[in-house]
Amino acid sequence: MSFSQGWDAGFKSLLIYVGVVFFWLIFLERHFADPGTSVLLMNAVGIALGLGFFLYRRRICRVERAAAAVEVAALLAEDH
Amino acid sequence: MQRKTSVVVEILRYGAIFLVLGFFVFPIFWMVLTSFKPEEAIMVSPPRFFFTPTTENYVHALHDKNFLFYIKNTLIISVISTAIVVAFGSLAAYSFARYNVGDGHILFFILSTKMMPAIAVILPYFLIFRDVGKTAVGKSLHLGLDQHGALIVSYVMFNLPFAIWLLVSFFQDIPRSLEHSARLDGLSRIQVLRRVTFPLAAPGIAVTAVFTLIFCWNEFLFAYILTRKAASTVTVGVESFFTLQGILWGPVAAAATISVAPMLIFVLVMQRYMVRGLTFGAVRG
Amino acid sequence: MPTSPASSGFAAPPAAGRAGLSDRWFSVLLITPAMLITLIFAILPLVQALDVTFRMGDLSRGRIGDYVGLENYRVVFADAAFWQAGWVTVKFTVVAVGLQMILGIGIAFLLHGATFAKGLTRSLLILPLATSAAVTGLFWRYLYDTQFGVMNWMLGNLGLPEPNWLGDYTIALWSVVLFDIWQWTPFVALIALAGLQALPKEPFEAAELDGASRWRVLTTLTFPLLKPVLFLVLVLRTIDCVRLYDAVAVLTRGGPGTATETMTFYLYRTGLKLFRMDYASTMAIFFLYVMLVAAVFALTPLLKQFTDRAKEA
Repeated sequence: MSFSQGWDAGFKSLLIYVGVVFFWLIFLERHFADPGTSVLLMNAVGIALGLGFFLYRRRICRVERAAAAVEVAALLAEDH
Repeated sequence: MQRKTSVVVEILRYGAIFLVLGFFVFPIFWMVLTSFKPEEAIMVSPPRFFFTPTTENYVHALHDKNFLFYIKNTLIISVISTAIVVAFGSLAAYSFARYNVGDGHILFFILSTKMMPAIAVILPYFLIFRDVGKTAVGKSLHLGLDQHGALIVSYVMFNLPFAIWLLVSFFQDIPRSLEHSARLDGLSRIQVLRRVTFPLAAPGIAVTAVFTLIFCWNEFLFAYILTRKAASTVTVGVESFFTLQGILWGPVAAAATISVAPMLIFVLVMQRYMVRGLTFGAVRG
Repeated sequence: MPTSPASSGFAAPPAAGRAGLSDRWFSVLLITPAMLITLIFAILPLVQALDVTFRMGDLSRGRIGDYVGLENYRVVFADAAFWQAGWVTVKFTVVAVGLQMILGIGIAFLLHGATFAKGLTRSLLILPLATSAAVTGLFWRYLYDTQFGVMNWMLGNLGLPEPNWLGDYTIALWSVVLFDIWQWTPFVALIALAGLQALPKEPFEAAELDGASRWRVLTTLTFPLLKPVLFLVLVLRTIDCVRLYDAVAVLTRGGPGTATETMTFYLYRTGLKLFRMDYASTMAIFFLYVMLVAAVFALTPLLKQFTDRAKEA
């Protein structure tokens, strides 16, 4: 994963985390009796989703890179 | 590709164009007309198209209200802001267009600041300029509240994204080969920029300058919040006609005409270039 | 790898390069002034605003106070007026942008086919753009005046009903929309016109030879080719409409009641009239978040076009 791709994925992960926080506060928190539990759970879900997205993107990048490496190797092999 | 067009269609077309132009021009025409009306011809029903013109509204706006003062402020602030925006914007846009610096992420960041509603940052700005204005540097640069520097900085910040956006598309239209051969002739990068690229991009830079100048000239919110009197601009000046016994439409129309006229004339002169530059390089076969 | 990925710009000829300055550093140097301004005057206020959202900030009772966690967010999200203002903003944006696009494109086609007095029409059309919403908006109040206004005089002559443009809470928002249409439809029209005139000739000539109908040419050639330009105008107009402030401030001041209170105007009232910095900042941050998410979707295709062209050597 290059720095550029990492930056992109990181930025979007952050947006996802903040989005979860907003969504939680608007729609879900009223169903909790105790705000402490709610906030804890909210952070857990937010971090899980944000991190999950980041890891997902990293895996995609790795797969693509591997595929590209195979292609380059094949091309080099043809030359020789 | 000349398709046969009947006379009826053509008449309908020009009729429609006439109606469209009427709608867009009429409010401005009415504003200018009202500015020459004597008081007794303004608050009447039905509206009057014929009357003996008078300059009393202009006398009121220019003399009693000292409207030229606002014009002077606006001119200083918008011209300096535009110069800075064009200078910084061109350098940055060139870098984005040629070197793809930041791989799109920095450009995204700068453009996304255009999404920022001015109102969201106006309070922090107010506090920042209040504090900065008290420091030595702030004093020397007139960065405090109700000073020109504060508005200039705000306008630069809020017009840079759009300017860079426009300029990137202009720089991308200049063929690289020209710069390349200039480099081979032994010019340094800066010399290439100054002698080859910028002259070629001059029309695009001019378009950007026109837009930036219009936006600065017409800006209202920052001027309204960050100035009281000493650095107020025309848009705020026109608002000040509000407070007296109701709204005096005659003087308002005169002040509005004065404040709008420079940009109208400017745009009429630059129209040809503006329209051409407006597609942001989005059309290209 | 045969080519170096770092120098995506044109490679420096060995003899000419000034010692010590690589392409990369040169490009960074060029964006430095713009970046400095953006970083200082965009990030600093935002960080400050973000900080206030977690604190007590009633300026009418003194300075910014203690940290209160997410309390401000809870209050704002439970505020019906906040959602109402959001709804007004959405209504305004959808209707204003929609009508401006339709009318603008229509006018562009109208002018594209015309051959007479082209320069004059364009010059006249561009005028509303050059005026300030704060100044002409103020004057539109005179046009809208129920007693002395020209609008109702004309409608009356045509035998149409004469609405109370700015005083009737069912109409006021649409009066602001009409003003925005007046000011910005020419912008859409002129860009669309420039796009139409820049279209390549060949595909149209080919379609002509094939005997394609006008409608087919329009749907399979003209609009697909115009799509990038139209998308760009759509994005620009949407950004401006969502941030609308000036027109509301001079035409209606949010009234009557709260019928025309857009998000930005409600924000202004909360922060600068009621001095609740904390709530205002919270709204601003939420607003900005929504805009950023929208930006990811709206700007990515536009930026891709830029970076693709920057990459092609």
